[in-house]
Amino acid sequence: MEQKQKSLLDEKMQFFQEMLIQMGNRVEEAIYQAQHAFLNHDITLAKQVIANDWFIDQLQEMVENDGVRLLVSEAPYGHYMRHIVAGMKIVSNLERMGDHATHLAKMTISEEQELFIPFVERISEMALLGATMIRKAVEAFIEVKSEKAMEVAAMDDQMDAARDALNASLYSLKPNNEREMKRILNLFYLTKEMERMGDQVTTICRWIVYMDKGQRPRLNGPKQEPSNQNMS
Amino acid sequence: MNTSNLAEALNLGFEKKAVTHQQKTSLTLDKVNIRYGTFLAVKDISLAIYERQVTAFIGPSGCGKSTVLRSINRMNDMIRGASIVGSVLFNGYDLYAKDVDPVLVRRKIGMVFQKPNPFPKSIYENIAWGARINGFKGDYDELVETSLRSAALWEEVKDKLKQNALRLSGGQQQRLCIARTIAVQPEVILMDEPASALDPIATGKIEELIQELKASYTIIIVTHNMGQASRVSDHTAFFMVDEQRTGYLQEYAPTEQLFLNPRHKKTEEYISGKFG
Amino acid sequence: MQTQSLFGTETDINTLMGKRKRIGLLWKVAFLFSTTLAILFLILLLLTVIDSSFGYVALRNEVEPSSLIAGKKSVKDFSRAELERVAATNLSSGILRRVEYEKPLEQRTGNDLVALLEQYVIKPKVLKTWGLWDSLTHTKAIDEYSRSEEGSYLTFKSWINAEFFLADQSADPLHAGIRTAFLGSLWIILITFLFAFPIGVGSAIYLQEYAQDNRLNRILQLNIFNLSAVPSIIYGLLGLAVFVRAMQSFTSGSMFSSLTDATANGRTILSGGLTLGLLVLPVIIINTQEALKAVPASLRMSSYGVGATKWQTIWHQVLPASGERILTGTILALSRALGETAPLVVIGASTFISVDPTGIFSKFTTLPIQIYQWSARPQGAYRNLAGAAIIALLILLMLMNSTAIYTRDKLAKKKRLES
Repeated sequence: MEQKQKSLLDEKMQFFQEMLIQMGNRVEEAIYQAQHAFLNHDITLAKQVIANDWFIDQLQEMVENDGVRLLVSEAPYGHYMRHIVAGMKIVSNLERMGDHATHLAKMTISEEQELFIPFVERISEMALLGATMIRKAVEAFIEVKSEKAMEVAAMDDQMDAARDALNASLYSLKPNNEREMKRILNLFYLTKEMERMGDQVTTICRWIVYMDKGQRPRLNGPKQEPSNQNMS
Repeated sequence: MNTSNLAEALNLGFEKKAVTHQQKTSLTLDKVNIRYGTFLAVKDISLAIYERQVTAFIGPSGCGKSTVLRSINRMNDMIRGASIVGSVLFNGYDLYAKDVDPVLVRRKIGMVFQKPNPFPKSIYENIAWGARINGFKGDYDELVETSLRSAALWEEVKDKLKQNALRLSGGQQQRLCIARTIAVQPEVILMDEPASALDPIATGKIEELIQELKASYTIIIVTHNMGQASRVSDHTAFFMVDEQRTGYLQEYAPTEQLFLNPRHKKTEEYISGKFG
Repeated sequence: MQTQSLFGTETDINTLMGKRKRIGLLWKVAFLFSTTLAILFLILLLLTVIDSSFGYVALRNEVEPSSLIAGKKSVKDFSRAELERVAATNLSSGILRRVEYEKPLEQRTGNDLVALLEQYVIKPKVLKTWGLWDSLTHTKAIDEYSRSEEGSYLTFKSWINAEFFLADQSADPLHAGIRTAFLGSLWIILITFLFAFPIGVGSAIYLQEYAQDNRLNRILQLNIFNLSAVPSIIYGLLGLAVFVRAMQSFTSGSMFSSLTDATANGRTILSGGLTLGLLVLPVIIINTQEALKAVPASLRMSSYGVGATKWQTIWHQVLPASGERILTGTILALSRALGETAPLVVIGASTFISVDPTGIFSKFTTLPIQIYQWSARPQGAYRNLAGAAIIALLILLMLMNSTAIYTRDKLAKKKRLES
């Protein structure tokens, strides 16, 4: 009877985890495909990415419902509780990342690609980094290894550096006409989107550390506490 | 900056009293070993119970948590063949020292049992008797009212104080037992599964009562109900039993920590209902 | 239905059910039969006793009333003046002197004079008595007997009447009563109670609440059980040796010289009471122990929990909780003592005593002994007296038990309603 009980809750948890892993995989795929479409101006692929976003949203809904049901019916403690709470948070981050991939795809459809090709490449690289980060994060999630998660979070530094460099380059550009202006603005936007993807993965990693250790350290680099003067 | 300071700074009111950071120790158990005859019931129990906090003892059947509880107010003396090695210190005094009178110990450290067992007397007498035999010289009517109010029972019984206590419902009887324990002005209240014989509503009332009593008394509660332990207690001690059926202390931590991030696998297995 | 495979077919189940029910019915009938049998025997006992307590008596007067005063068939018809005159002239001098000394004839009531004349002048003698059944069914035979006996006449007598209770022992069955025996029984039971109750309850409290569970105490417990099974006559022998002989100065009261009834030596109510006290002591101890055992441990635990000492727990919680049961058991034990004959005979209850017991140092006789003595006499009339005395004993027992039950119920009601 003990063994049976053990597998029942563990089975339910396994199902919960599976959905999240699936979602992570799909997000990774979406980013990779969006990046490919953006680089090669592949409108068909871009449209596919946009269509696939629906699956990601469905998975989010399923995970959230399942999570609440587990909390109510199982009233879990220990790692079960941590995993469910973490899962509920991670699912939001994954869904946002899916949106970023979709935005990248939408940009592909609406823009002329011939302008500022080097930037397109650099943005693609950022996207690829994002895809790598999410893949490694999913691995850390499966193994529930906080060390691995922290390694992935550290990769966000690369993302930030890439964004800073890109921004600097973009600032130095002088648009000649309205079309170019629009294009530069869009490139800024995409840069920000890619950088945000990195932040999302970092947040996911925080929650993986929570799953493993029960703590949530800040992994994005130091954030200053505001001084007392600001609190009035 | 910690959470409570921040909350203060933001003018957030706390509804519940925050856990004070100065935790004074009320009771200390040091390497307590208890035998019944030759059988070793619990071994090397060492823990500190904090003043005016609720500590829960949890663990599977036969792990000795009730035994440890009873040793704190020397109720184990009643059991033939029970012997204890190690010290139980109450505010620094060894309760098992030669010159200590167990009767006085039990006044300072009261006990509420699993099955409600009021005296077969009137409600009034249930509360007054304990005080009377301990030499209470004040106003008995006032004592009865105060005790019943503290036990959240006054409104329900104020018109029938002379009625036999056994005619009350189970939940009311249990609150009466708490009231009679309070009447002799203890410092510590021990509760051995106080709500396990009660229905959910009565259980809820007892749990609420425990939260209120915490302000004035140190409370130790043995419970089988994980939800109750996590709802009601500030610290939780998890007892386990080994192959020789001897109980030992596996883990002792603040409740939130033990239930959310237990250090030992056995603790997590137990609280997740893997065995019990 | 799955049941087919393991429990047999439906018909099998029904057959078995029928069999099971029949067995149950059989046992029920057996129990009913045994109950009926028991009740029948009890009714038989009661009927026997009643039968001997009422019936026709054939009497013959030594001196006929009509010979004293012409035309009057019964002394009751005499006038007041006639009563005094006849008494003065016909009573023997010795008796007259004693009667006058006790109370002069003029001061005596009419009924008193009638009784005197009946007893000392008329002197009706009992020829034969019949039981109630015979009196109702064999009236013809009774009439024949009466006619065959010269000078005899019949009266229907209820052997149990007010006079019966108030009169003392007498050689004359018509005037015999149980007053002395009744009082003797009451005195003895009082002493038994005063001796056995405190000692018994005290011992039981010690054994149950204080004593350790070691070998010595277990042997003690076993011996108490054995003592309760010892035949009562053994207690009589013990009482004789210890209370009557060895402690004679104490039990006869010669120690307290001002109170003695000098003729009693050791065979006093005190000895009797102490002997019966020893008899019922084991029973009271065992009963009280059972009553104390029945008090749940949780009551004691909760008492200790508010800081009560052991004695406070016993006095305020355990004893009140077990009080009813202790009382009931004690009353039952005393009821048994009331009916004990053999030990008191051995102690030396007086065989003939007409003086009421005045104190614990008096000689005595008890109801059961009186019954025993009367039923052992050859004359038929004594059988009737014995029957009447049995009824008296039963009434006493019923009174005692009823009081006990009433008191117990009243205490229980009081306890249920308030503290």
